[in-house]
Amino acid sequence: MSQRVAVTGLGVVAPGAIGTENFWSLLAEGRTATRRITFFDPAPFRSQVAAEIDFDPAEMGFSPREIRRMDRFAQLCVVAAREAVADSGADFANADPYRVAVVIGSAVGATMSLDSEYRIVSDSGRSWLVDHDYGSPRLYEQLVPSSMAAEVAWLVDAQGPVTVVSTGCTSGIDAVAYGAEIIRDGRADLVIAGASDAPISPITLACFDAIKATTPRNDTPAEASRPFDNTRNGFVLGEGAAVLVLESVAHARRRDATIHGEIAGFASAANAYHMTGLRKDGYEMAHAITTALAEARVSPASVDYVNAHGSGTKQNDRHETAAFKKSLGSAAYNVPVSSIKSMIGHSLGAIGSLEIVASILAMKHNVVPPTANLQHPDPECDLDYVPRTAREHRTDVVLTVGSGFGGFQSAMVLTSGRHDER
Amino acid sequence: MPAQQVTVDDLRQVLAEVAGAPNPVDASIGADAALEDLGYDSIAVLAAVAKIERDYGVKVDEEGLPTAKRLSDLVQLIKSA
Amino acid sequence: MSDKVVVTGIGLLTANGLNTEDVWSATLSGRSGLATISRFDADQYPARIAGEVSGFVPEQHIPGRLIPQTDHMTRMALAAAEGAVRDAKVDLTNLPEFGAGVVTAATAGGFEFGQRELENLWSKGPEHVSPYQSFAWFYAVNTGQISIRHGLKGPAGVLVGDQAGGLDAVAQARRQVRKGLELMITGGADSALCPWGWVAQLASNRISRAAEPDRAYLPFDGRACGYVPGEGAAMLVLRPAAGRDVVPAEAYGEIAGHAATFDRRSAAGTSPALRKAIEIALADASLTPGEIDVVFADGHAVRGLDDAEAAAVADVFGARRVPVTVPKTMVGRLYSAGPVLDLALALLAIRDGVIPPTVNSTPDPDHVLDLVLGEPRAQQLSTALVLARGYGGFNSAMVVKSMEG
Repeated sequence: MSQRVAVTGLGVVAPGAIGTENFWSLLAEGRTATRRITFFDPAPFRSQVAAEIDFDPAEMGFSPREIRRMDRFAQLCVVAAREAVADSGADFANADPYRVAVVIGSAVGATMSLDSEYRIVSDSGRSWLVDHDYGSPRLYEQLVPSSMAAEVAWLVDAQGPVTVVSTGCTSGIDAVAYGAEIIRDGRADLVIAGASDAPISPITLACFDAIKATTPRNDTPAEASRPFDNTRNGFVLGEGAAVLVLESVAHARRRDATIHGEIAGFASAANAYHMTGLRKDGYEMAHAITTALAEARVSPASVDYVNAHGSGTKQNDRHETAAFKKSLGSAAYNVPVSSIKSMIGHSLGAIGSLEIVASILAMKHNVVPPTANLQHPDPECDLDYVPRTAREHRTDVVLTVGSGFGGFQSAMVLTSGRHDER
Repeated sequence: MPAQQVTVDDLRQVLAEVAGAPNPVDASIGADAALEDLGYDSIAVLAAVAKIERDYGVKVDEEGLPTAKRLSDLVQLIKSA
Repeated sequence: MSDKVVVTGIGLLTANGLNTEDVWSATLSGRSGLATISRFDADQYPARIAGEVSGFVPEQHIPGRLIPQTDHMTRMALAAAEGAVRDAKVDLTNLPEFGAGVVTAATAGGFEFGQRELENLWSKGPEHVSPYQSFAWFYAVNTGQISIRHGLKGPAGVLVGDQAGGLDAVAQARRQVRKGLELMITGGADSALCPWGWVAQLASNRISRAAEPDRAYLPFDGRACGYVPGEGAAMLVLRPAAGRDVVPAEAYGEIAGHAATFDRRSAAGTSPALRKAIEIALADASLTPGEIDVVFADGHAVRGLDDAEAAAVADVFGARRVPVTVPKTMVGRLYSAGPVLDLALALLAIRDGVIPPTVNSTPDPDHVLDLVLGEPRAQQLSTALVLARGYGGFNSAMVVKSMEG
């Protein structure tokens, strides 16, 4: 690997926490932000809980036109990007605009707008030949989610590569990795990379209901997301955005930027097995982890924290536990592993970027966030999942992983950069 | 028709409709044919069960689904709904 | 060692052909696939012309069990990927276990599948929504399905950048091959030719409302009135020139250069960023403008966008100094698949020494571009530049080169 890639800006919009500091407080305190759905009446659905954000776009400074123009996932993303840009202290106004890139991950794009606009043009599903007279002038932008990456590009007048990465539930980790590759290739000096999804809409609920992937634990919403717990029965849908500013370590040092951490290694693999199913052995995820560790030149024993995918489906939790054992060997039993989805739910394409930020904050604070709601561990999941309470723990190397529909498995190694300060 | 009268052939038909034509297997295996051998995965089963639930107005035991490995198992589960 | 990345397989499916050689011969003979929409009754809509793929029988290409779980565009993606693999004459089982992957571009996802399930949801209730909706419509579905179908366990990628995304996906696949992958399947597939997708496209205000197919899509013509949407799939197999069992002389050519830029907001579609993309792509390919033999233009057929593209090409190459063509005038804009189709046609043009024509357009004789109009133009070719732009300001440029070049 030629260029070391530094993270110099962070921004977060998460359930229960807008802003990076609030996000860390929530994680460190082990608070959960899952609740009974309020966006619409969830009564007709099997799963009626979600991790929603109390987000008022007007309060966040969006004009009425911007609110009209942007789907919620774009609004969340822009707010996270604003924070990351400010945090980075980078002088975007004087940067070469062709050397500024934007990579946004999203699994389902403007799904909320598409759902509500469909209802209108079809008159609630009454006509197949939907009526264009009722169509929003924004429908095309909603059809293709790259339009929303444009919103982030406009923030900083980026004119380099701008794209959306949409690899389902690994989008958030893959987008940041793609951004890091743009830096390593020397195609940009500054990359805004992150992910956003706002999928809490009836159509998303209905399709996850149909495959029984989301939890029906509707009577105790705050305890509904229970990764690695024996009583878990599905994930809790969430929403959110996290955005990072990336640059080469050399570039960051030249401008005296604060380096929050480094992206040291990444790999992805596909299971080539099933669109939603996972084999129990975690074989392909293990391969991704091993490859990412090799790229980072990090041994399994030096991983200080594993930020798990931990969605809270039985299938996932066992799959990834097996993957950790296979890739980390005996070190798997000594390293703390936790899932922040226990607190903020599973925001599909966004969660990978949120987990990267959580991993960086864990290194900053030397605290490992807990797996909330973990009371009765699944006997088949026998690692140290940091139940319920955060733990002080010197953390310089983090492994974060993602797993998603399509069979995609991704692994990223983040380092604090403290080990070789000079 | 009540769900108690659902036959293996009915189930085959629903599966083919919602999840596509099965892999060719020895027809003589009949009701004992493994869903997996027919090419039907867990989502295919969920799709078929959802249709049967809608058509017959029944609720099939979710917990039992993963244990239904053969056509006949699934028919049993549906009949006891 | 060479880090050349070459194209060894092509799979195409468009309104003028169901496989690569059919598409190529139809394109050379100027046969258009644009027609009044037949998939649904388009009478009530202000635009009615599209590039529909007809005669495609998915059952001939994919197992029956994949039919209920796939959108039409995924079936086309699978058929094109299969065609590309067959064309590449590669035994996938011979490759290292994690040595082959898939990167596709997407624009709309499985919109028709989505419309059906939205209709089920809102007219009948959530319990009527298909479990396959959980993945059949989303942007990542083609990469997942192709990976599963061909047993490819290497890196999986999906990029969205409207039409520009198609080239970005190929560039990402090239990056993976350079990093050591033995094979990547890459390309795009799109179709939003259902009423819901049609209405969403109409909202862009760039769709041609002409009533006759031969008057509907006229890039660089004074009568330009918007573009015609098409549907289809275009997939490539990328290999390292120095890879296992790769015979470089048998490859179609090399992916030699790429760049992506984004327009300044106030000037979306007309900013200098497209020119910048061309310049960076040429530099990436270590070629000068004089060494480019043909340009496959984006050709939006929207006045301002056409003028900006013509200006960018003329600025880099000089007025009327390089032949330019828009064969998508025969099949419509295929979104993520569009520029990948152009790459494939560019490689076939290099192979056969002939530039495919732009049909129906009749720009002024003194137009700043030397458009190849009506008839194919025989010419020795060793390089080609493909341009693609996506809604909102996305620009992508890619250079391909013959193996001898």
